[in-house]
Amino acid sequence: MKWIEYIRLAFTEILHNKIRTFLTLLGIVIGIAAVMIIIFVVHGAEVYIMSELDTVLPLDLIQVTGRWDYDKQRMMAEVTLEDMAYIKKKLGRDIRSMTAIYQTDLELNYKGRTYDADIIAALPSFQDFYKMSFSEGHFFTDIDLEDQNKVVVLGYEIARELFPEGDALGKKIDIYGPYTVIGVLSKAYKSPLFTADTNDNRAFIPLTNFERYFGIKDKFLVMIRAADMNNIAATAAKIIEVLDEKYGLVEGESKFQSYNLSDGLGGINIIKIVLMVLLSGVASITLLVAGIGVMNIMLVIITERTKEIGLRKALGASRGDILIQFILESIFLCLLGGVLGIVLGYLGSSLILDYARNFINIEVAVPFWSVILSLVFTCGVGLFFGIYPAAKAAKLDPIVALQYE
Amino acid sequence: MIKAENITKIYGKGEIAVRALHEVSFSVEEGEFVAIMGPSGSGKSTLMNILGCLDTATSGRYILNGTDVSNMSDKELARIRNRKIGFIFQTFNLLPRLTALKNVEQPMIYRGVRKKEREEIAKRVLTEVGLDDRLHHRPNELSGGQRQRVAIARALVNEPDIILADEPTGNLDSKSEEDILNILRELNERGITLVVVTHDYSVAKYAHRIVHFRDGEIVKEERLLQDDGGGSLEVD
Repeated sequence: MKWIEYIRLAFTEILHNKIRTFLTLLGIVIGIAAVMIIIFVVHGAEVYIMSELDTVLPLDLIQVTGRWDYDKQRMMAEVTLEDMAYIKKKLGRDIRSMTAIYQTDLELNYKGRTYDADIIAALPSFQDFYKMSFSEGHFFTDIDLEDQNKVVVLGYEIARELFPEGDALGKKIDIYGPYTVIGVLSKAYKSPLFTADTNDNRAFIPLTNFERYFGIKDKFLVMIRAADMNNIAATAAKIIEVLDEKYGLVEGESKFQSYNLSDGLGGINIIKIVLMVLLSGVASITLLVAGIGVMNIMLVIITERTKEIGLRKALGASRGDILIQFILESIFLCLLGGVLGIVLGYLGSSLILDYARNFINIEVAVPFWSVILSLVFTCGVGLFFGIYPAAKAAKLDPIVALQYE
Repeated sequence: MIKAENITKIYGKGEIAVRALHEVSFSVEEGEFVAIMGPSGSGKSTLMNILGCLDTATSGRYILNGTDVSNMSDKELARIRNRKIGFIFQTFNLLPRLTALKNVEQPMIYRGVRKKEREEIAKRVLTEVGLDDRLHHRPNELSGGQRQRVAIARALVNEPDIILADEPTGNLDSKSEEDILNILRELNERGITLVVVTHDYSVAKYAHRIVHFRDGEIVKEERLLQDDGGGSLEVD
């Protein structure tokens, strides 16, 4: 009940002396805007790096292989297609997609033209792992896989070299025998940040066809995408567990191992934290200075309103009532600065984003938690720097205060 | 209503100690109108502060309406000031940023009265002092007499046991002074206990009893015969 009145009073006072309020708040406005922009830039950089990295390889990737036996110089075990089906059955909810690949270099021929291509023999689910867009045709299907069909999907560069006329679809090219082109990819996105092979130089054929031709089985690389980006390591551990269980292997005797990116990404997190700490340190100093400004102005306000404090005590305000009234005034003063700072920080972030878009392709929004953090921070500044002036007001002797001119 | 026994008030300590009140015993009956007179420095304001629970006596007992308030904590005293005492000051002491209505609401905020009820009571009391057309005016839009009437309304809203007025007409012209004194007399006739501090005999003569102070002691008391029904609340 009282609190609503105190808040109303605080607003009456804060809005009464607009210029002084504005000057007092300038420090907080700039400090909070700086915090907002710093968070936005660091967050934006992270989003950008991650999205670029994601074009090179999926960040939730888990690779599963047999363990290498150093004595016998061979794999202890191979993961089979049947094992993959078993994993899928047991851990369906933890897994977004899984595929298997062979990778090799082979020469492709078409009417005298040749191209040294990177051949990927995969399951149709490979499409879930690398962004592919087709300029014509489509990827091979489960039927192609089952029938070991001699079909091929060409990367952009290969198609351009072998078919300068752009009439690749339906033609038969020679790999190790004639393969029908069923799809051609558009030019792949090349990250300005990471150099990596793209699909432009790749040709894709069904895994089964490759195994039959080379007379091998189950030597492929298993790639799995975790459903939960934040739980990759746990998902990887579960996969190994399921495989061990299937083969009756006890812990410590596992013949399987996994790799994932979460360890490597930890480095990015550390850079992010270091940046945040450094830059927030600068912002904190700004807010500290701003807070001292607020304390100063609160002391002035309390001196100016000494008579009011005396009167309020005469009317029945206890020390606690006066304390709360002025702390709330200080908090709302700072909150007003915080809101203005958030608006300024938002505008600044938008400008930076517009500028960055001249150079890079990025999609990122001001993180909502930075708005909440800013509000909590300004409340904290108001509370912390308001306590001393408010306590001073609360302790005033009502008689002395009433006689103050 | 008020019973002060052997009140002594000493400011400071040791060599520089000043004795503002010396063993003053003083009482006010319910419904009485008492004026305290004396030159400045006579201790009348100190007594007023103690009676108003703004200050506590160095020694002696002060019983307000049956409650011993001599040794109360800040919080308890604040509560007493809020509910049992209404103050009227020479300089009105209105809050400049607030309207007359809001000013009158302030004591009720500390009593925890709900907003709607607060507004109703404040309106009613302001109407009683003849300011029903000035509810939303700020103090700087009101004349001296009107400001003091707002202050009187503010003193009345929590229905106190006693109203303490310190030179209530000290800053007013003679016409407004008469208005205010008539209002005070009217309030007293309605049964409100009133203590007025003044150095002006023309103000004091409205009271039933005048207590004269000098050098921290009561030097003389005089009783006046009032022609009841003389006052009126009819003011411009």
